[in-house]
Amino acid sequence: MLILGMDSCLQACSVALCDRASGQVLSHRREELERGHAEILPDMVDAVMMDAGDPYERLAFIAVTRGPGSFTGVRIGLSFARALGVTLEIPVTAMTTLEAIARNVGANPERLPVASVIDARRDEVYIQVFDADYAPLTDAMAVRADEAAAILPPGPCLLIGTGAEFLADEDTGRFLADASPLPDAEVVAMHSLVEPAPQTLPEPLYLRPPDAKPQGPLNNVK
Amino acid sequence: MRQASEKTAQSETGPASQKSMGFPPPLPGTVVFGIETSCDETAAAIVRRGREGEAEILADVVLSQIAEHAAFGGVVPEIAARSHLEHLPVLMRKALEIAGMEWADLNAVAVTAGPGLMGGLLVGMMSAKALALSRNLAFIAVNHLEAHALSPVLTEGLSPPYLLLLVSGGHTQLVAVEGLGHYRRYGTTIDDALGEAFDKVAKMLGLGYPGGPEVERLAAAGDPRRFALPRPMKGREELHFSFSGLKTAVRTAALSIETLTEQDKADLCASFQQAVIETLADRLQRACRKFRAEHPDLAAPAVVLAGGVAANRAIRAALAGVVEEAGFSLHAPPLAMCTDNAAMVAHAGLLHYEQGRRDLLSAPARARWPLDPNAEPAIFAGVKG
Repeated sequence: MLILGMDSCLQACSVALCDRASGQVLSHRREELERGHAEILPDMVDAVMMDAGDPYERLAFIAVTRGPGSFTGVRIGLSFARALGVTLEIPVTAMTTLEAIARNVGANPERLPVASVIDARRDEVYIQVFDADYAPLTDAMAVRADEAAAILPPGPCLLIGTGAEFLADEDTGRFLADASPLPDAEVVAMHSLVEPAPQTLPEPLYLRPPDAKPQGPLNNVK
Repeated sequence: MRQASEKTAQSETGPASQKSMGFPPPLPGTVVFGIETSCDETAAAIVRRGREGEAEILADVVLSQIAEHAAFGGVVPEIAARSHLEHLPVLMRKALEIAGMEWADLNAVAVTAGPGLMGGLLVGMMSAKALALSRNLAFIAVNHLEAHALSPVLTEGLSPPYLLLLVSGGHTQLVAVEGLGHYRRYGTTIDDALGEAFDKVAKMLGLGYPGGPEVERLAAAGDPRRFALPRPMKGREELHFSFSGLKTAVRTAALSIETLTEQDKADLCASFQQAVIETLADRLQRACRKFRAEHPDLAAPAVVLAGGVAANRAIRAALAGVVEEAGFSLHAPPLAMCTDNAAMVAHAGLLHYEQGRRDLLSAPARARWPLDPNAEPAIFAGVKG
């Protein structure tokens, strides 16, 4: 069962072709970058598929990150993955960036909860806490940075993500995990839902409304 | 949408004459999928080159986001981008279903790469690239302005050269269309697009969105001479437009009245629309003269009126007079083909495909993309250039 995974939500862009049955990564590409995801993602997918002999007809489904992250980055990966699913007529499944980053921790022998924290700019973070098996313990949220600590579990935990560092505090047992703070397509391909619904497409997770305020007429208009 | 039989009958003026007018030889049977997401319309279409060399629209679906932007009195880029992402895959499936085709029947995918709002453009570009990659199709990144400029070839069987006046919510341009890839920009707006000016006037007067139809409706009951508003650029030799100052003049006039009655609003709308008409008439008159001077041997010169603002009946009637007086024929594609749609994108893509163009999957979306790279920048024109 071949799964094509991809991510472009944050400061990295990656694509992976995995065989879930054997747990094997057949091909993988990754680049860390601030901008330009849209220009490199299609060629990355092409390269990854070529590496494996272009097995489009053997793809079981597409797996993609659906945010939260940069609105543009979320839409780049999601629109590409959704259109691949529609045109190849195969299902598309998705994972949040928060879960993908949390799963970078991998084996967690002390079975600590994992808090995934993404720098959301404007003094905010996207945050979600998972148990040691990566089942969510909280909702995914956008909160002010100074409110983030209150979301963390009371006891020891592992912190990971681009906005995690400021929450680390060894005295209270809040340790920064020694793993990448950015999502990777391999994790997305290996761990996203196995059987996505065939006709429904994954929705983006923005966690923030569009920045726009309704505007009224001039004051002398009744 | 024209029927195939009509097209055959019109082949004298249409596709048959394309060869001599700077179009590549037609490749019958070529099928192109088109995608448009540059502003507030999500659209997908399929166009095929028929046996007689005519272009047939096999599917043409458009989803307007008007309701989503209405509360803001204008297009909100982030709302537009979210909406494109949500709806495009469904529209792509629908277009294929309407055409009764399979993905494997396509030869190429054409998508608006710019100019437009980046968030929306990226959704269309990524979706088109996914289709091209997964089905091994030619990928063609189309200029939105070029798609508009070539749409009368699709809808009217018109052949270049002709003079185009494009007036929409995003663009206000006078362009001499000489052939595929050959456009000379006569003029552009140095600030607001005309449709944008209509929206802003409607917004300040508390009218609905989009503003064009609302302003036109009120103007019909108003006195166009009550408010003395400027006729921006009128009489100037260069063929540019400017609507920002006119909009501010409407605002100043509106604020000079303590409480606006319905009649005040109607008079403001009528005065604004009259100023617009006189400005457009002056610009178009001069453009016709210039076009005529540059094409002295052309027996039947034509003006094409495109863009959402072309739906305004008062503007259309006034410009029809100008065009007739100049000895040109007037062509206005049906409204659905005047406003943003993907059939015009697929059609422009089809012509480029026939010319042998293939774009890379790394082709970028372009917020700015002037149709005429040799046009001198209009001072202050910024992104509208």
